[in-house]
Amino acid sequence: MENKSKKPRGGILLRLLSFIALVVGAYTIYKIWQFRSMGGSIPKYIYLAIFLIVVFYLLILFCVTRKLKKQRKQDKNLKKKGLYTILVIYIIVGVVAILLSRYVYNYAGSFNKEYIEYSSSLITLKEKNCKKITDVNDYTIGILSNKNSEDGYIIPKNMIKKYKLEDENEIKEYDSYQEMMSDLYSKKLDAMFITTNYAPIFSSIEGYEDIGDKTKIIKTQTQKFKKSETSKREVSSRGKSVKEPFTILLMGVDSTEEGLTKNTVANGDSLILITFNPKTLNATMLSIPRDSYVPIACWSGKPENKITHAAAYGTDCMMSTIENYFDVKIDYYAKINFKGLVQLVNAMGGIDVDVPKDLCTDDSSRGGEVCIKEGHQHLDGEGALVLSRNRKQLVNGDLGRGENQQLVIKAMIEKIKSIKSSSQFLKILDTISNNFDSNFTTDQILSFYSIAEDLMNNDLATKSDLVNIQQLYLQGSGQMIYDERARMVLWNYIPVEASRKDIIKAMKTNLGQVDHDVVKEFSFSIDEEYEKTVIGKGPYNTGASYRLVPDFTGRTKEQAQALANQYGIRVTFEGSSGTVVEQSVPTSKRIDKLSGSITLTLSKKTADEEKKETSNTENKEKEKTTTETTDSEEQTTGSDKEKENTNTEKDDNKETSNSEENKEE
Amino acid sequence: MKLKKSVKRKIVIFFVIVLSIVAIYIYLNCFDKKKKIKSTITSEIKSYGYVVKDTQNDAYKKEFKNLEKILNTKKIDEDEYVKSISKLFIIDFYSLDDKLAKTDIGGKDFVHELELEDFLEKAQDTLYKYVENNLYGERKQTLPIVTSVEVGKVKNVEYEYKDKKDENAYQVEVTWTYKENTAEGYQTKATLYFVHEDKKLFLVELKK
Repeated sequence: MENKSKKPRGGILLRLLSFIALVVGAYTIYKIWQFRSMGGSIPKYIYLAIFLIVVFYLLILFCVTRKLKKQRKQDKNLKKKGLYTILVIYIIVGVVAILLSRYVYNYAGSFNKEYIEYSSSLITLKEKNCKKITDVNDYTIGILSNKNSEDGYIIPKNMIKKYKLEDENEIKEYDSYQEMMSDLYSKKLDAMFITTNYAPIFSSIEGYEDIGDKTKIIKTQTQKFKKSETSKREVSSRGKSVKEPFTILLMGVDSTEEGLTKNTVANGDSLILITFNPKTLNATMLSIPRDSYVPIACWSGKPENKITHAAAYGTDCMMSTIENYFDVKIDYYAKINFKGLVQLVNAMGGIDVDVPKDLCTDDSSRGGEVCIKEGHQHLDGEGALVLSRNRKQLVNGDLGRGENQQLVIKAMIEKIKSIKSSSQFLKILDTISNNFDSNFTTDQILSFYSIAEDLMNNDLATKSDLVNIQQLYLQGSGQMIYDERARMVLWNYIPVEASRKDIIKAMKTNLGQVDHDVVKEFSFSIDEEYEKTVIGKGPYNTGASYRLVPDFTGRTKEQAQALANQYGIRVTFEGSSGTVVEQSVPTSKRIDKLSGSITLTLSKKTADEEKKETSNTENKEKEKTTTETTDSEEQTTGSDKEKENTNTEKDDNKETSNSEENKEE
Repeated sequence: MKLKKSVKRKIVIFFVIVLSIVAIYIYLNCFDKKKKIKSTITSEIKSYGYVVKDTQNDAYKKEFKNLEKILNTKKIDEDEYVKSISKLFIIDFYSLDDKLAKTDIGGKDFVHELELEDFLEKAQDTLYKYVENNLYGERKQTLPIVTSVEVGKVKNVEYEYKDKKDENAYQVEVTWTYKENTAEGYQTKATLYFVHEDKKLFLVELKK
């Protein structure tokens, strides 16, 4: 009886330890397996480690089974100390391996964030006497209608439920933040839900420059979402081989804060679309101007608007907009903020760039000014940030900034040549992991480095570029257009269709989706400098502009009708005489977006009466300010002529303006 | 107590099966069947900086030996020297098949230092633009292979470049052929210009 009671005790412990060893061994294999596609000889060690784990476990299992059999048959307590020790050592080694692999993998893969924090705020105008959420009573509150928007709908809905806002207030749904903000400013709305990061996004839009001073946050709520659940982009890129051509969208995030774990959406200022063909090592690079007037994919009806306005609707919206417009699928994205760029360039030991002109901008913390000099320079992180950010000192503004950003990227690619090993490459990535986010997996990033490493090992990129970059340029012209959502006239960059087509062709060619023309002849001369061609720059015969509703005000009925006929617009008049004092459709609205006719309201006075009235008023004013006597009739005629000229000029300017003076800063 | 024979047999069979599976898996996944191609220098003419690599084609290797002979003599026959480097340049530059990647541009040993950067950039953008990477020996592209080069007229000319003048520069006319079905429509003739720099001759111009 005594023996019987002792037997199972030893057996249970042995079985339990074996089971723990099995679990630990399996989990160790799983953790080690995650490193399989790393470069160099790492995969071989991984397979060897897995092999040893399996073999050792099988040996242990064999010994345990034998001991247990012996114990059962001999009916006595056998010595099992040695076996216990082996099992405990096996488990300890397994646990250490798990912890170690977890540490290394997190270190290597921290730039692909698993969770992202979305933050939504209930905001109102500063003048409103509302300090906390319980003060929100009898308000009309705006919320986005898009049910998939984390910060525009999901979090706001939770807040509405939590604080019972629906009971005392009216909740009004909107298609866009712009419309909502416009209604908040015009006091049609009392408060609205918006992404907490709204100030930097809106402050770059004309009319909202002082949004930070004009509005206040009543309540903010943050919520963590698994990135793979909120974005289809996270899942689609997984498992994709980087040996096949792919596209990547680089987005600069206008944020001086440390960290990119929040949904810090890029404000669309820095958008660079790259295609890369790992077979031919060819790349195309396109800087997309922030004011590009393109269809916004996530808005109902996909209306055209500035591409930068898509930024407030998240990375997916921005990527879909670009995909639709340039007819390519974007496989990967990478976001980096100010600090990230500074850290990356510093970790690389600086970059060598030909700076086009002297530039000065705030540093990455907006704490002081950093200046860089024209000419060939070795730039540190802050210097590279100045070159990437500054547009106000450039003649061609945002377009020039895009070109400078490409210079920085090219210089960084060249700098990869100086990285000696994949571990050094990972270390560099680790320094920016907090300020960099991407849907690349660790394996994919390491694969790129592996190609570069093989090229360098063969001395194939010492004197030539590591990657051959074809620069693309979206040609276009500026035009002031009435924005339905923002309800104001804004400066837009209207791309030339032929330029867009050339860009699409170049990208598809590089991606291997269309056939390429093979160059079969070559010539060169030491006295002829070689200049790379830029695709998309033209020259193109066709311009790019929309026909816009002219300003009818101040014109007589006949003049207004003639102008309407000239533009092919149907107009109806309210009133029978006088000049146009109001038009039902705002000036500079796109004519192709008109439905029905425009109603023009006429003043009841005749044109002559108006002229007289104007001249009388002017005369009176003049009499007040000057002692000189003037011929009132002459002045009236002159003033009228001037008015007409101004009107005509105004219309012309709106049609053809391509100056950037009026554009948003 | 000894295990029964049948139990022992089962354990052994179990071990064999498991180890076989593991071994097959390791063979299939662990050992990189793609062999990375690494080019190594097999011969060089040190005082001139000319090299030949194991990945370069036979025509180049053969002509390189000829160049070694020419340059190893006490009194170098410059006409022979210029003819040989003309051949080597054409073979190396226009044979794309033995290149490991588009950055592996042939003939750069013979191009003037002042022109090299532009030359490489232009070659990458034109003739070499679509040469696929063959670092792992997986390329399936058909690419030109130069099999023979004929040197025509060799003339001494005056050549001015970058504020310099060489009164005894060389103008060399060359024609060449490719391996059949590898280079339809590809260039087959050119005029090359070489100038003196120290004891070396450098290519400064290539006219179609």
